[in-house]
Amino acid sequence: MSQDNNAANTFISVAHVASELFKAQSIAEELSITSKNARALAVRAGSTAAGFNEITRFIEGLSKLTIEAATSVNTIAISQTKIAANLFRTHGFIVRLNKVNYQAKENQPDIIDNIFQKVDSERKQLERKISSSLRELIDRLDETKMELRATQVVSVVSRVEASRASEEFQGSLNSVADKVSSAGSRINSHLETARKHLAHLQ
Amino acid sequence: MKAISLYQKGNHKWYCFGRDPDRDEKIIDTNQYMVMNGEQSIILDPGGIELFSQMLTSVLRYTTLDEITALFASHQDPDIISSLGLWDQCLPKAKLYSPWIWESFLAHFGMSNIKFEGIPDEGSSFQLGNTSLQFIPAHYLHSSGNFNVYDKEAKILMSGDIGAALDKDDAPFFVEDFEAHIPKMEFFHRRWMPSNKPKDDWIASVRKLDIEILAPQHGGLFKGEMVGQFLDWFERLDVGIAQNK
Repeated sequence: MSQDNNAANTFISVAHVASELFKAQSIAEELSITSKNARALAVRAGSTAAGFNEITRFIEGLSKLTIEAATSVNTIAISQTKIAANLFRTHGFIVRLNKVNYQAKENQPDIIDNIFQKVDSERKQLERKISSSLRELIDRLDETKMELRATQVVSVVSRVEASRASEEFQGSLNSVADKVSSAGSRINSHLETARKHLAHLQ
Repeated sequence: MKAISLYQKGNHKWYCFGRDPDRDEKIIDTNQYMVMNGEQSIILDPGGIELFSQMLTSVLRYTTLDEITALFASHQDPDIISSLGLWDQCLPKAKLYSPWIWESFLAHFGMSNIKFEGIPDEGSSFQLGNTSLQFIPAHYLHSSGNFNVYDKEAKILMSGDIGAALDKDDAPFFVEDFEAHIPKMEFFHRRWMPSNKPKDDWIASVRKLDIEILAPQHGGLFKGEMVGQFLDWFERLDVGIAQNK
């Protein structure tokens, strides 16, 4: 029963991770639009905002990175949910097989035992797959979190560059910096929540 | 699995899930629906066991497990509800609304935690948050115990297998050309629907409803005037014919 619960907890937790990354992806898509708008703004602001123009490339890079991470985590998570659901069904099958009242005739192969051996070997294989896929999922989340630390730096540098631009553009450029900072925090919060969903499975 | 929003007004929402690109080609494509109102959600025809992972991942993008208070199974088929044993692990406090005659059959899919709420033959209503959904009888279309779900506020009728079509995996969610759609649903209706009498009764009862979207469990959804076109076509169709073409 506890193996059943573990498998069920795994597919629930991993589905939660995928949904958190889906939310992070939506924010990253907004960030991508912010970056495009910022680039247009920097062009209009001219030479005084040349530095800002460069920063927009980093913002675009961060957005791309989050979208790629979300896609890859989603793929791992769906595959992991499927494995966990299969494992749950396999455990259920083994429990029911153990209740089969069967006695092999003398000199006849024990067909139930043969099935048991086969399914139990599949169970072990699924458990190994879950474990390695879980590791992969955690690594991918941690890696993305590390890479997103740059968001706060980009936000600070954006403010510095905004202060160098001509006055009429400063407000808009500062607003871009605010949006980058806010997007970074929100994405980070979704990654944190995703990570928490996996904590008890490790 | 793809998802589209069918309706949103305040905190009252409808989503449709389907067209899963990762689905095994041997498995028939299905449309799953989720209705949300405030902090409560119901999943309509949650689907087969093979689609469970994608469905769980998809619904969690819009709601939480605590908020999924109910499941609805229009009838007992495996593509409708064979995932029950897995949902049973995720939604221990939820209720399953389904035709009363299927209770002991559905329990074969695994129902240790979820509580079965049998819908009486004449139908009933269901309170979801601040709104009410109606379970509309659709017996023998195609199952002997069968219901649709009607939402008066959203003007959506989830019609189960009625209006179903066997379409391509990348077909749009909504039917775009009714005449071109007929060949995709004709065989299905002739073969799966057993008798003209319940068909005519059902058509007469749903013609009284104000329907903007008719949402079947397979294939494209009908919107606007296509709802009437479908009802007219279905009325003319002779069903219960076992010709495999």
